[in-house]
Amino acid sequence: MLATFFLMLREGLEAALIVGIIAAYLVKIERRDALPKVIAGVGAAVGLSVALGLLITFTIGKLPLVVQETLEGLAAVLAVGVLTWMLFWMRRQGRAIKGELEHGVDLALSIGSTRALVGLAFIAVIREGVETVLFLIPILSFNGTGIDVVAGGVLGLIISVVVGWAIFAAGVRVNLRRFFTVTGTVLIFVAAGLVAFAIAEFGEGGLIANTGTAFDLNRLLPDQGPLGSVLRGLFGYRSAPTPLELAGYFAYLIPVLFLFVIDRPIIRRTAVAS
Amino acid sequence: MPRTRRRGLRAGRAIGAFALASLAVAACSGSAASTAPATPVPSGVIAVEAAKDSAYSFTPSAITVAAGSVTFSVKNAGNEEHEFEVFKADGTTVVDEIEGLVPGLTKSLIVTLEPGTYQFMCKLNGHDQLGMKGTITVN
Repeated sequence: MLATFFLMLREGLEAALIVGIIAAYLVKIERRDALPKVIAGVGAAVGLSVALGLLITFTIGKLPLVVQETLEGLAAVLAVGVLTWMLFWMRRQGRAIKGELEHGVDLALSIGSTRALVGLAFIAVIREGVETVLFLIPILSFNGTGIDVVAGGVLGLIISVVVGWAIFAAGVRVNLRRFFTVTGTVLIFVAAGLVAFAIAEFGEGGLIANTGTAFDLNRLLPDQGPLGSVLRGLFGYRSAPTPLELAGYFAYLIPVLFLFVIDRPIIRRTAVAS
Repeated sequence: MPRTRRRGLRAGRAIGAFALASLAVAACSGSAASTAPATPVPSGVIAVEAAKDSAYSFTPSAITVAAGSVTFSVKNAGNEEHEFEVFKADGTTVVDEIEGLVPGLTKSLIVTLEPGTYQFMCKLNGHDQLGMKGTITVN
């Protein structure tokens, strides 16, 4: 029961994190009315994941490894792109709300921006959703599966949703600056983790050579174990990365963190004073 | 309550219900199968048990098979999640894999193997370093 619980939990956690942040952000910029679109996007992603999972299982049974790994890698790359865009766009919007930009900025969520946020929520859910369904179908349709195994899986999914809700509730409460700082930093780590993940998937698919082990913490903190899964979802932690994965992780993390962090108050104050 | 918020809540509930219904359909198709008796592994299929002899082992760990299309039926006899990954002789080039093998579950994998040696292992959480691996000799 515990195995399926953690299996479902780690699939759901990353999606829940991103959706929770998007929802909290919309509330904070006084755009609650866009929330139903996000919910609809999430619902569509869930429905599409179930449909795709069933389709794959009952037609070809299983995607060829190259196809599967390439698709997962591409989905991760797409997620990194949209996440990075969202990070800097959110930060710009946040500054406009605080009145820190000199010229007026149109605060209204343009149709394009709404679509991008809904699109990000959709991508986040469908990435994890299809894999979750492809894991769930054999478990649910196998005649040796006990009710405790199914219950563990359902509980894992429920806890993921609860975590997403908790992130939303907490994000709505904190002040705007802290919200952007914390969520922005977390999302940068998540995106860096996705870069490493994309490299791993392209490696498994045979598209690139991704061999060797930079370090191995599997005995101490396995990334598919209970605590490791959480760190993996939040910070892109990998217990035994290859040198290429490690390089990719930091090649994204360091420049983006730097660009995100150089927007310090002291720089703005200096600009205003001069 | 403003109209837009009511509409949003209704939409949200409808989508939630649809998602739950979809999962219920998947579950119902499963429960119908659960009343059928367990089918034995047909000949021509190689049965492998994970975590049977010890928590991190594959039984058998040395498999010999004829070249061509090979079907593995892997059962998780332990109490942790495992994987079954087939590699070429170098131990790094992936041929194919079974993921999400939770305790009690049996999953199949069909691979086309040419003559030579292959390795299989569970790399989840580094189980291969605890001995969860084996070799396949294809002739």
